[in-house]
Amino acid sequence: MSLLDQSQQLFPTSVVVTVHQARNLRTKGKNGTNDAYAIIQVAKDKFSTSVAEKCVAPVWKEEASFDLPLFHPGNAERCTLYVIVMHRAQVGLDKFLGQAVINLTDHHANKSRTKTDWYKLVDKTGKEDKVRGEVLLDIQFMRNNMSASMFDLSMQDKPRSRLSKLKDKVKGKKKEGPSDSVSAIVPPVSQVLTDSEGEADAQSLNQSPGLKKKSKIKNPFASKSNLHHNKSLSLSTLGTLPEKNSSLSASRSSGLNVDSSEGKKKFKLLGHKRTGSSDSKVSVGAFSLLGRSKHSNSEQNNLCINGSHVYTEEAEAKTGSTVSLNSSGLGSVEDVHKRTSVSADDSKSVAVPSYSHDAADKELLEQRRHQEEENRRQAEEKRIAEAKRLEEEEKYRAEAKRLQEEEQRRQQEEQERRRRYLEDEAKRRKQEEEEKRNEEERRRLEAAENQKLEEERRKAEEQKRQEEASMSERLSSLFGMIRKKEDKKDEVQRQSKDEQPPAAPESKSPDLPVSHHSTNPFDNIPLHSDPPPVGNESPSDPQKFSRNQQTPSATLFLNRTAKVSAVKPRPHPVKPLNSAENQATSSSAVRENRVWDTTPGKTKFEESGESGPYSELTTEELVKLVVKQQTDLSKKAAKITELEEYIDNLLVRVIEEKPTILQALDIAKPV
Amino acid sequence: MGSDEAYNFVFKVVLIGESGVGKSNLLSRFTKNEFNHDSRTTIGVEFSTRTVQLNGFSIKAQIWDTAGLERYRAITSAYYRGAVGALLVYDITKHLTYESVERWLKELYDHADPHIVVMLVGNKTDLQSERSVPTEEAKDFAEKKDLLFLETSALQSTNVEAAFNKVLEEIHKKVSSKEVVRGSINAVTLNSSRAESEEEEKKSCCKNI
Repeated sequence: MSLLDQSQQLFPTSVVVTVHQARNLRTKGKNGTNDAYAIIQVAKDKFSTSVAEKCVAPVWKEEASFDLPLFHPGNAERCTLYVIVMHRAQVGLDKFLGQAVINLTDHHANKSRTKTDWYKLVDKTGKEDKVRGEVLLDIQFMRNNMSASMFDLSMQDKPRSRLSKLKDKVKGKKKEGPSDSVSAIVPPVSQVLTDSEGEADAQSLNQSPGLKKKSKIKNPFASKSNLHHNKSLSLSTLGTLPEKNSSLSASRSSGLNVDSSEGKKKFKLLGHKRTGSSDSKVSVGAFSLLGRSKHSNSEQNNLCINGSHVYTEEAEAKTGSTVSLNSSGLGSVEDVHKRTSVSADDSKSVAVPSYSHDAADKELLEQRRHQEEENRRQAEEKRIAEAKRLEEEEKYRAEAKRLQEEEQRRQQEEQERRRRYLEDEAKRRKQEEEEKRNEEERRRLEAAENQKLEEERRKAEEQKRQEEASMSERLSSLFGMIRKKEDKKDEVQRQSKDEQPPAAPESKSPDLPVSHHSTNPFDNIPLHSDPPPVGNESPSDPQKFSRNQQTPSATLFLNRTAKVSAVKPRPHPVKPLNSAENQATSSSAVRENRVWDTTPGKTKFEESGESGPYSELTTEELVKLVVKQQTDLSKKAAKITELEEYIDNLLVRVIEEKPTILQALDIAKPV
Repeated sequence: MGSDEAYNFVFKVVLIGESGVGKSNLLSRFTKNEFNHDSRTTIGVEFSTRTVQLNGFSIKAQIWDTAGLERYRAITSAYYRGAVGALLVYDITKHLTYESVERWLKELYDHADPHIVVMLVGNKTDLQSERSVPTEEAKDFAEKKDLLFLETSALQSTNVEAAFNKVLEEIHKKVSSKEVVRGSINAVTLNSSRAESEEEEKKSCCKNI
């Protein structure tokens, strides 16, 4: 433990290795080309890149992340990076082309650590026997003392997390502890939401107590995410050009205006009740999304712009606005609430003023116009607000329920489809494997025979899989499960995307962590706790695919790799799961490995509970959950040990002072 | 089991050995003639007594049992303190439990009276087909280490009585021949009951010598 802490303080906790390309490789394939792939290995963790077919200078640009639990020079074994370039042979064993051996501790000490460099390939024994070419590697050390922040970051680049979380809310799922990052952002949303609802104080009260209620309110907007997307898209531009406020879509600006005017409560002109309600809906939806989005910074700024733009002159009326007035004098109510409730996001509050300043002039002009409209609306709303709110709430609830049901149904369908695909894919993949492996045999065999053989093999593999009690298998099963959940997320997203074709692509451009490489096509998955693709058959990143295309097969791929990789007797066993686990549990990986070792049943059990309470969680959330559980477990173990010691001490005293008590235990039993 | 029975001696005997070798069942077989097929790991410490007649003496065997865990426990020294006999049990079907015998011996001699009578007990002879520790091997080892040796089956009640009786007999021999130093005798009278003191007076127990 202490060692871990130490390593965290002094040394990087993980390393991200990007294998860009190789050159001057020896050629082992046909026609002077290779079907080359690279195995990236640190300690026992291995990753394989996809196979770059028929080339002499393969380009992979794939990265892998490794945990470095005991990173010090004395632990060279664990801190040596191997990048082994192989040629995927059509028949027989894959051929070794060369390997780069890098001592990570030395590399780390050498301050050129973030540099991308060519590394010479050597032979298996580490000697330079002949020209084997070079491989372009990017080695970056990461220190994530706070694993939580890592998760946050990795969540940023996943648009689905937003939607999936929305869905969680929709489904009334209560977030477990690990989703701190989410809940940290959500509360302000509800605040904003309630503010925008104007007099809906009662509602806000209703909402604030629990996520469940919130979800019901938000739920209806899930289907309206067109608006969200419009919004979020425009938001990105707004971030740079605040003047564009005026050019925002009518629905949006009106929605915000309504919010603001409502927030004022000062102007009670006649309003259009219906528009008001729909506007508020819109704004709520947008806010809810914004609040959840990882781009909440910029987005909220935009909101603030709108808010201030509306409120400019009325700001003084609001008591709470003082907080946000600090720099701009145009502080909005929303701003205040956000600030007060999300004390965490400093960047937000900093960014707000500047924008509002810029926007102020234009806003002033527009405000008059808006005010009149809004005030009218406002007044009407005030009148009917009470009744309406109740109505709306009812409506929302009903709609929420409906949507929930719909979602569930859809999910079930998706699950079924996915399962079907999974089966097909698994079969297909096995077949492919067989073809590669046993080509010679197969040539001799008739098709029918071949199938039989495969059947047998499949059975054997099945058996092996069952028998396999090794940790990697267990882990893989666990993470296979996690991936399944993730797939589900993808589905969820897909569903919502079906409803809203203009998906939010901007959310895919995350604030990348340190490992970001501009030329790296895998930008989207830098610190993602999922490993890079296994890519034996499919050279593309399954994560990315599932995100971009949302094809079932892509999502299935995850499952497939998760399951198969642990079982297939590949010459270079790829263990993506291991590292996923390692990275996720970076700080306590070693200990947790041990813990997992001792709890094989648990993971298997969880795997079976596919539709269980964790099915809605994303990988990060699940990983967090697992980490938390592990921590809890270790705490409990410590407590148990303590108690045992205490009991022992008591026993000693009993033995020494009144041993007959101990006999009483025995006598108490029927003799 | 009469704690109120009259007896001449109380001998504290400890059961040691790896977890799962059948210590508790040996104890229950000896003291209650019971065998529990699905007994759990022993938690804590407990003892049972049984008074046996040996050479005209009434000897109360106070047999202590605890979990055979590897980790160090605070009770270790208290557990051994005053013990004049020990049954070091291993499972004849699990060679590992036999391999750890030396470790147990060391712990025993570290904490117990040097004159302690130790018997190596290979339990579970009912599982002959699964035997992995040859009788001769264990027997030779026991001889080399100057231990008593018996193979038992708590399940079939084979040699259980014999094992305990042999140990008690040996202890008694030692006590009678005054080999046991005074310190040990204190342990023997650890359960100092009224009856015991009476007996001691009557029989002029070695304690008085």
